[in-house]
Order: sequence, then structure tokens, then C-alpha cells
Amino acid sequence: MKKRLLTALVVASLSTQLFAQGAVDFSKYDFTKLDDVLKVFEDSRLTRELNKSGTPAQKQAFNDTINGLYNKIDQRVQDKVQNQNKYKDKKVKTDDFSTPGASKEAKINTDRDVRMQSEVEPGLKKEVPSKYWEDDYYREFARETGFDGDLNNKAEVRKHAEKYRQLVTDKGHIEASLDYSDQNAKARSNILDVKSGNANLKDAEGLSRMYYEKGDEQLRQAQKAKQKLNNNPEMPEAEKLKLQDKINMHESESVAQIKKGVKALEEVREGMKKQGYTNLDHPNENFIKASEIIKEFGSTMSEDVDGLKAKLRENGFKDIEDFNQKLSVHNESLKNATPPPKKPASTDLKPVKTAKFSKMEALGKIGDIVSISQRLEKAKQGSYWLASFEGNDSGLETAGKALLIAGAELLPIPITDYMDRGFDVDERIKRMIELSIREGKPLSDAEIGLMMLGGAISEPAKMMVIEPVFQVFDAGKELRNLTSDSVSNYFQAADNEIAQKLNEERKEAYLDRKYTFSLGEIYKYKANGDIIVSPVKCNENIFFKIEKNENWTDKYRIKWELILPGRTITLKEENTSSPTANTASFTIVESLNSGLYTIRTSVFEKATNLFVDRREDVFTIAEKPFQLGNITALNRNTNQIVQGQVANDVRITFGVDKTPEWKGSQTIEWLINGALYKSKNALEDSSNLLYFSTTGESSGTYNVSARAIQDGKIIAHTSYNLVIKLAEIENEFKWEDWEEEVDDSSQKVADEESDTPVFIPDSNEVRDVLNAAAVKTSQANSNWSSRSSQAYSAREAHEKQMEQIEAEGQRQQQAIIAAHNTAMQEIKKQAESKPSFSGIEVSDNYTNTANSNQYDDQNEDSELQEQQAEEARYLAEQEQKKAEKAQRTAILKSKIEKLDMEIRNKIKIRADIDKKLWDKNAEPEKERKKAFAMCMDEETKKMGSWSYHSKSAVSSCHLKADKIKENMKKSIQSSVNAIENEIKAIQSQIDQLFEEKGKLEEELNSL
Amino acid sequence: MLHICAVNANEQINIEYYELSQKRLKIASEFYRKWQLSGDISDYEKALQNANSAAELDQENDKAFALLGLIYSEAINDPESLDLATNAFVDALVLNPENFAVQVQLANILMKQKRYWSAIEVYENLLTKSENMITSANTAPLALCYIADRRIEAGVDYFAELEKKYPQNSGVLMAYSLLLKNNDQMEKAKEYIYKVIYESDAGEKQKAYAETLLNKWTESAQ
Repeated sequence: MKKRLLTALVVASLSTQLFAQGAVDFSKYDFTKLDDVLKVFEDSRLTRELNKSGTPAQKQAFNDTINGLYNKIDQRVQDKVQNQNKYKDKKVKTDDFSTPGASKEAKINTDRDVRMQSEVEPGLKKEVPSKYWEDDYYREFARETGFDGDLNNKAEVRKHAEKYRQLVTDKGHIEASLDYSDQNAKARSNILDVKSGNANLKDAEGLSRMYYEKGDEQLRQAQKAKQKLNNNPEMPEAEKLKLQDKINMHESESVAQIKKGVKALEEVREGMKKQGYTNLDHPNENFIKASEIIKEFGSTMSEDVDGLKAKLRENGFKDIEDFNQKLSVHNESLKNATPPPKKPASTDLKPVKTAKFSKMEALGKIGDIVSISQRLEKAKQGSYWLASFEGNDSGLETAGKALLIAGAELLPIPITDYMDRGFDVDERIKRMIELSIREGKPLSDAEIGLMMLGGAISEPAKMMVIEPVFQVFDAGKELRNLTSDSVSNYFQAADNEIAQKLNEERKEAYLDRKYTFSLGEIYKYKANGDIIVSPVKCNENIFFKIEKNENWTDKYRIKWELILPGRTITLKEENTSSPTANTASFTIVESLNSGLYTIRTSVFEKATNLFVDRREDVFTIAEKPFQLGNITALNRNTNQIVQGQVANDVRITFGVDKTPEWKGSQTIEWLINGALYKSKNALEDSSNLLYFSTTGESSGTYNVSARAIQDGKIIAHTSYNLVIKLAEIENEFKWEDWEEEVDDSSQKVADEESDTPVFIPDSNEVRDVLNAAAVKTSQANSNWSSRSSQAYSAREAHEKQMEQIEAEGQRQQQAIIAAHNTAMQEIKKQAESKPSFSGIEVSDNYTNTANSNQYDDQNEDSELQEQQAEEARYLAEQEQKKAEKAQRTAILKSKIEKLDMEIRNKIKIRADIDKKLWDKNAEPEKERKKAFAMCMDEETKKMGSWSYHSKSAVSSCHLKADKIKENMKKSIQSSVNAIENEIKAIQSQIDQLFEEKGKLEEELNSL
Repeated sequence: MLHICAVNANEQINIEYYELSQKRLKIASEFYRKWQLSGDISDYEKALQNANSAAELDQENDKAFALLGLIYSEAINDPESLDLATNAFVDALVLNPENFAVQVQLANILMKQKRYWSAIEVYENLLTKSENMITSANTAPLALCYIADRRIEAGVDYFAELEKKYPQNSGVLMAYSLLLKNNDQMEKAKEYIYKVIYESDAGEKQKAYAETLLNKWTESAQ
């Protein structure tokens, strides 16, 4: 102790003469000055001394000055970090790292372990790795603390900082232990929980290394000084003393650091004891005593480190380093402690906190996970993606918009990538992306927000989380050790080849299950036991049965389903052990349409719910006689059924009931007085309705009929007589009169033509007029036929208008009625103008050539009529094309349906042959097993006991059995080849059928 | 004489817990899938209950934690559930750091929480650990995270380095190009889009999309 003080005093007196007798006199220092602070700070013992015996004012001044220094340095370093791209716009701040849980009371720190933290997310601070800023820190520290060397010499400035125990650190630093880091999800050091007995030590080795390094770093410096001393015996005494003092200081500081390790060991051991750990390494008595000596040592100027070393030696430790090593062994041995027996986990299914999920909205995907398209729809209603950019900050808003554009451009990328790699991507997403690619349009904001936040992007990855769960069950629990790889294997399946391989493996597992169960064929029969071969009729009972075998046990369950167009009905589902599991029956009810139906049975493994096998068969429900019911007429003005006659300006809807027998292959035609009024595909909307207005119609009985046409034949017909009584327009116009007049006019022209030679035999002028008249007559005739078409098209237009009236609102109705009336007036006008084509007019014309004005009018009429005739022809052509298209569509659909059935049958045959091949290929293995068993039996007999077989006997049996297997393989090769050829043949037929079907579908789509 | 391995009572319990955990994990998956189709809240709750129990019974089963995280992550409007999802994914990754699918899910949930920095760290860790992960499926959201975190230059720096190592990787090139575009370096961005179309390992759809983007950028520049 005396020697220690003497040395220190000599050193101090040599330099600053600051020491008072027996204690350090800090009053000589002006701690408001950085130089004085650094003088003390340079020596850790002095700093500790100040901490121990300095006045509060001295300590305060010291802290203020050194913190001022740190603030200046930190600010510059922080600015530099913030200028780096990685941390741009992030708040960064230095943080003095102290031992977690250490007292926070005001004291002088003898060193500085500093880290830089960045608030990378609201509320989340992350360490900035030291590589980004340590050089800057050391340089700035050197700049501010009187370093007189080259500031760009990294090693030198670092060495200078180390003199003042400045250490830039991060979680990657050698001293950093996992348990001390708060850079984790909890943002809290685990060591705190370990010490309080609430957590396990994660990294005993890290703990051991950390404290060893802390002490050893000081010891290394002491060692360096010792070497310098030893290597320079000629060194002046004062220098020697100074160096010796430095050695003492570092050793003293090492003890201060080791003391922390001793305390940590004790606290962690206590924490582990509390948790019930046993076999905790018990340090021997010497270590415990030495630990006490270390703990008592204050590492101040007034304490004697040599005395401490002597005490350590008394307790069996060579020196401080020796103790430090032993301490590190004890710390590391904490990992060998036996954990307490696991508290039995509860096997109860604990209720989850449902309150937070009580509202459907809480689950983003309830209601929208059902389908991604629905999710997209939901998103379109409100872009919650924008929520994070709300507010008055225009910069944020701009950033938000930029992000949305970026999102729109970036987000299709993973999906297209998945698609390119052959992954299953939701069809709707696929379509959406493809559409956006084709149109070169970005996706909407809402869609982006949804895809990003709703997780549509990660759907395939999500499957990768779930799929392995199923794989575990597929493969059995013995694969548990391999499953850690299964996820990565699956993910690596981004490579198509590997994906294919995995699929094959899964397929093999499935085939294994399938052939183990060996599900038989479905037999279908009627109540009287007759096998069903022809279509079944309404109200008939039909039965299905599969032969049971020994595998129909409790291990499996079977599901019977009836597949209807567009939906599937589950008939029943039960254990295969149930006596009724292999049968199903039902009655063909009225509501079932005629056509092809499929009955399907699926077998599943009960424990795993994995699919085992499936059988399907088809049956046909017979066509029901097609009937069109009675036509009813509804007066739309009064909304009452028409009784008796109707008057002018009445809107009527004629209708028949649409029944399930109405098919796309049928056309429903509506006629009035035999004239086609409307023609529509039976499945189209309003094909069973005819809209009609009596406005403009003349009085009389109108026969309204409807007929169904299929394959060019009328398959049903029904009619209705409507009586119209229109007194006020009685004399205005009659279709019948018009038709008669036209007939008369053409007759008259013909008659007059025969007389022409008498009147104008030689006059060229008259001949020209005559020729013109002849042309007109011919036009008049053709006009009638075109008028007939015109009448249909006018009626059709009328019908269309009426349909619109029905479909649109009242306001539009009035407008259309007006248009309709105009159209009818036009027809009337045309009819009224008909007399101008009569024989009388024509006769006047060619007898009075001077009547040129009238001739011009007629000429204009004629052009108009030609135009109208052309239009009518065009409409008729369109109608024809439409009918042809409908017919072709029906034919194609029917062909595709037949092909489907044929394909299904072929696939069934193919499956049977597959099974045959499987069985055949399995024969050698079966034989091998049999041979091996027999051989072993023989061996057992020879040995007289079953409990032991020599290795050679077993090997010999294996060899024999293998040989038998090989022979068997050879012998069945030709059969296998034959079966394989069968498979090829049937597969080629299937391929051909698919090709044919594809072509038909292509044609159908093009229609 | 028949020799069987001695199984002590503790191990026996562990085996039983393991079996039960596996069963509940399976049931949880079934209910989770069922819920996806039905949208029925009770299916969701059952999935959650079973996954919770599976994780509790076998605390070394990373798949149980992964599924638990997945189920929690569906409650996108409930911050507490998202935190639980994050914790469950982290637990799964502590047990099996190589579980890349879980890392993707974790990154995704972090994005949902607008924790872009953390999401970037997860993605970058993923890309560093496995070259197989350097695909568009990961590079695109990573680039988007950089943009969302308003650190486009840092993204450009990162992808510039990645591009040096994987000059033909379409995922890297696309993301790099998009980041350059957002960093007002349109000409350079186009250069890399060209690379996607003509010099990369991109598939047909990816190339088609790259062409669409290029045309759009060219048109908008005019």
C-alpha cells in the first residue's frame, strides 16, 4: 500500500504535484476546464478517487465539462452518420452503453462505451453498426482532446482515444454478449430477466467472453507496459516510475472490470437457482474468497493492486489474469447447469381472446380472403394504404403518391415472376396482372394498397408455410428431423425442376395410399335390381354401390357426392366401417333437369384427412317432354290480366312460363298473325316474353303465338287471340286493305302495259316514259316484298322499343312511346302514300307527260324505298347469321359434352390399367418379401430359436430374395411392356380427344 | 430376448406432447384453410386455439409458431394481433433460422405494420443467406420498402452492389431499375430495364412486363 502510494505520489509530483498527503487533493483542479478534466480522466484510478472522495460540486463540474466534450463530438459524428444514404432522414443519437440494470445515480464514469442508435421506426431504436462511425468518433475525440498527431491516422487517433478508455461499440463487438444486447424483438436485455429468475441465459459463452475481454484488455495494456520497462533497463528512473504507475493503473482497472464479471456470475447463478436449475457449477472456497477480495477492491488511487495480487496468490491464484481465466470458466460453465423439469404444458385448448375479433372488420381477410377479387373490391372502396400519408404535410403526401406509383409498377413483378416459374397464382390476380400488362396501365391505388398490406403478394409464400405442415403428416413423424429442411426445400422449388420433383414425390405418396385402399368401381342400379344403362326418369329411385374389402375400416371415411352443373351436393359422409358406407341412393325429383350427372365417391384417411382415392360414374336423367304453357297477356297500363278486348294505346306483355327444360339449343319465336315478331335464344332474358302496344294497330283479332324450335324443328307451340277494338282510328289504315291495294296496283299496271302500243307506237319520248313506268311498276312490286320485310323490321323495332320501355324508367318510357308512335306514323304514311303507286296515278302519268312535278316526287319516294329495302335486307342477313351462330353454338356445346364423357371414360380405363401396371410392378417385391420370410423361417428352424440370426444368415436370405426378385422382374418384363403399351395407346386416345375438345372450345370461344 | 429402448417418464410425456402438438398443428391448418373459404369466425378461432396449443405443447416446433404467426397475421386491422404475429414468426425463426418462408412472412407482416426498416433487414438477411431467395418475389417488395421508408438512395446503393454479383438476375435488375427511376435517374433506369428484356434470366411474362414499363416511361417522358 505504501509502495503503491509512494509510486503514485512520485509520479504525480513529477508531473503535476497534485497529490495531498494520504489522499488526492482535487481542489487544485479546475474541472470547468477540459485540460484539468482530462488530466484526471487519463488515470482511471484518479477518476475513481474523484468519484469516491470528490465534493458534489467537483463531480458536477467534471461531469458538465466532459459531457460538453461528448456533446460536441457526438453532434459532429451524428451529422456525418445522417448524411449517409442508409440513415438519411433517420434520427440518430449516441448512447452511453452501461451495464444493464446498473445504478443510474449521478456518478462519474471512468470510461465510455458509446454506441450510436437510430430511431429506424417509430419507437424502435437500432444500433448503427460501428463501421459507419467509429473512425469519425475517434478522430473527433482526438481533435477535441489535444491530440497533436495526424488526425487521418486511424490507428493513432484510436490509440489516443483508448488512453481515455473510449470505446465505440455495437452488438457485433467482441465484448457484446447476446444476453446483454437490447437489439432484439423485445428491445430489452435478457440478462435482466435472467438475474431476476425469469429467463434462461441464452449465451453463457458470450457472457464469459465479454467479462474476460473487459479485464484482459486492461491486463494486455499492463503487459505491454511491463515489456517496455523490461526491454529498456537504461530508462530514466522517473520514466520507469511513470511506466510502473501505468502498469498499476491498468491492473487496477482490470480488477474493476473483473469485479463486474464476478458480480454477474453471482447474480446469474442466483437467478438460475430461483428457476430451479440444478448441477450449477460450485466454485471452490478459494475462488469464493478471491471473489470477495476482488469485490472489496475499489480500483482507486489509494488502493494497492500489488496487495490484491498477493492476496490472490494466497488463495491459489497466480495473478489477476489467472483469476480472470478461472472466472471465465465459471461463467461459461453456467451453460452446463441442468434446467428444471419442464412445467407440464396444459393440454387444454385455451379460449382465445375473441373480443378483439368479434367484429368482422378486425380480421382483414374475413370477407375478403374468401376471394382475392372480393378483397380487391373491398379495397376499391377505400384506400387505407393512404392512411399513413394523411395529414397536412405536403412532403408526406408527395412521398405517398410517389410510393403508390412505385407500388403500381413494382407489385406486379413478383406475381409475374411466380407465374413464369410455374407457381399457382390466384386466377383473379393473374388476370388482373395480365390485363394491366396488356393495357400498360398501372393498377389502382387501392389495389396496390391491398396487395401490399393485404398480403396478396405473399399468398404463394403463405402456402409454403402451410404446405410443409401437411408434408409432415404425409411423411410421418419419423421425418421430423428432416422437416427443418422441407421448408427450404420447398422454397427452393422456385426452380421448376425441383418443384416438379416435389410434386412427383407427393404423387408417389398419394399413389401409395390409393393402392393400399384399393377402392372398387361404382355399380348403379334401379329399385328392381336392374343395372342402369339407359336414362333414368323422374320419380325413379336409383342406387349406387361399391364392393367393400378388408380395408373398409375405421381408418378411413367416405364421401358420396352428386355433381350437378355448377354445384356439388354431398349425399353423405361416414366411416368406411359403417354398414351403409358403401351404398347411396336417391329419388330423381322433378327439379332435377334432364342431362348427364356424375356420382362421385371420395375416400380419405381419417387421421390425416389425406385424400386416398376417388371413383366417379355417370348417369343420365331422361329428357322430359317439352311443353310451352299457355300464353297469358298482361295489360301493363292497369297491371291486370287481359280479359276480353283491349283498346288503343294499351301496352301488353305476353308471356309463357320458362321451365328448366328450356335450353341454349332452343330458339323461342313469337309471332303475331303468323308474322315473326321476335326470335330469341331460349336462355336469353325475356325470351319468354313479348312486349306489344296496340297504339297504331287496327281493330280486329290478333293471333299471338309462341313456338320453340330446336335443330330446325318446331318442338312446341302455343297461341293466344287478342281482340283490339279501336273505334277512333278504324278508317285510318288497314293492313289488309293495303295489301289488297298493292295487289290491285300491280295488276292495273300490268293491264295498262298491255295497252301501250295502241297509244304511243312510234313516239320515242312516250316510249321513254313507258319504259320509266315499267321500271316503276317493277319497283312497286319489289316494294311490296320489301315492305313486307319492312313491316317485320318495323315490328321488330317496335318490339325492341317496347322492351326498352319495360326495362327503363317511366320518363324514358314516355320518350320511347313517342318514338314508337312516330315509327308507326311513318309506317302509316308509307301505307297512305301507297295510292300514289296505284294504276290510276301511273296511268295519269304516262297519259300526261307534262305532270313532271309529280314524277319527281315519285322518283324520290322510289330512292327512299330502295334504301329502306337495303336496310331491311341487311337486318334479315344479320338475323340469319345470328340464328346460324346459335345453331352452331348448340352443336358445339353438345359435341364438347359428348367428348367430355368420352374423355372421362377413357381416363377411367387408363386408371384401371395404371393399377394393373402398379400391381404387376409390385409383384417382384412381394415375391422378394415372401422369399426372404421363407428363408428366415428355414434359418430359424436350423437355429431352433427365433431370437437370434447370424449376420451372414440374414445377408444370405437377402441375397436369395433379391435374386428371386430380379428373376421375377425379368420374367414379367414382357407383361409390363404390354401394359405400358396399353397405357400409351389409351393416353394417345385421351390426348387426341383433348385436342379435339380444345379445337371445339376454341371455335366456341371465337363464336 | 427382446430389447427395447428405455424411455423415462419425462421423455414419454414429451413424446405424448409432441404427438398432441402435431395433431393440433394439423387441425389448426385445417381450420385455417377452412376459414379462408368460409370466412366463419369460429373456424378462425379454432385455428388460433389449436395453433396456440400446438406451440405451447411442443416449444421446439417452429412450424407451430409459423402457423400461429400466419393466423395472427390475418387480423390486419388489429395491431395487437400483428405484434403477436411478429413475435410468433420471430420465435419460429429462432428455432429454425433457415425457414425462408417464415422470413418472407415476417417481412410481409412488418410491411403491414409499416415497419419498413425491419422488413428491409429481414429481406436483406434472406437474400444474403440464400441465393435462391434472390428472386423478384423478394427483391420487388424490398425495393418498395426502401421507397416507403424514403431511403431510395440507400436502396440504390444496396441494389448496385447486388447487381454486381448477380448481373443477370431479373429480380435484381427490375428492382434496381425501379429504384433508379424513383431516384430521378431515368436514363440509367431504362438501361437496366433493357437488361431485363435482353440480358436477364427473366421469364416471358417478366419480360413482357418490363417492356410495358419501358414503353410507359418512354411515353410519359414525351
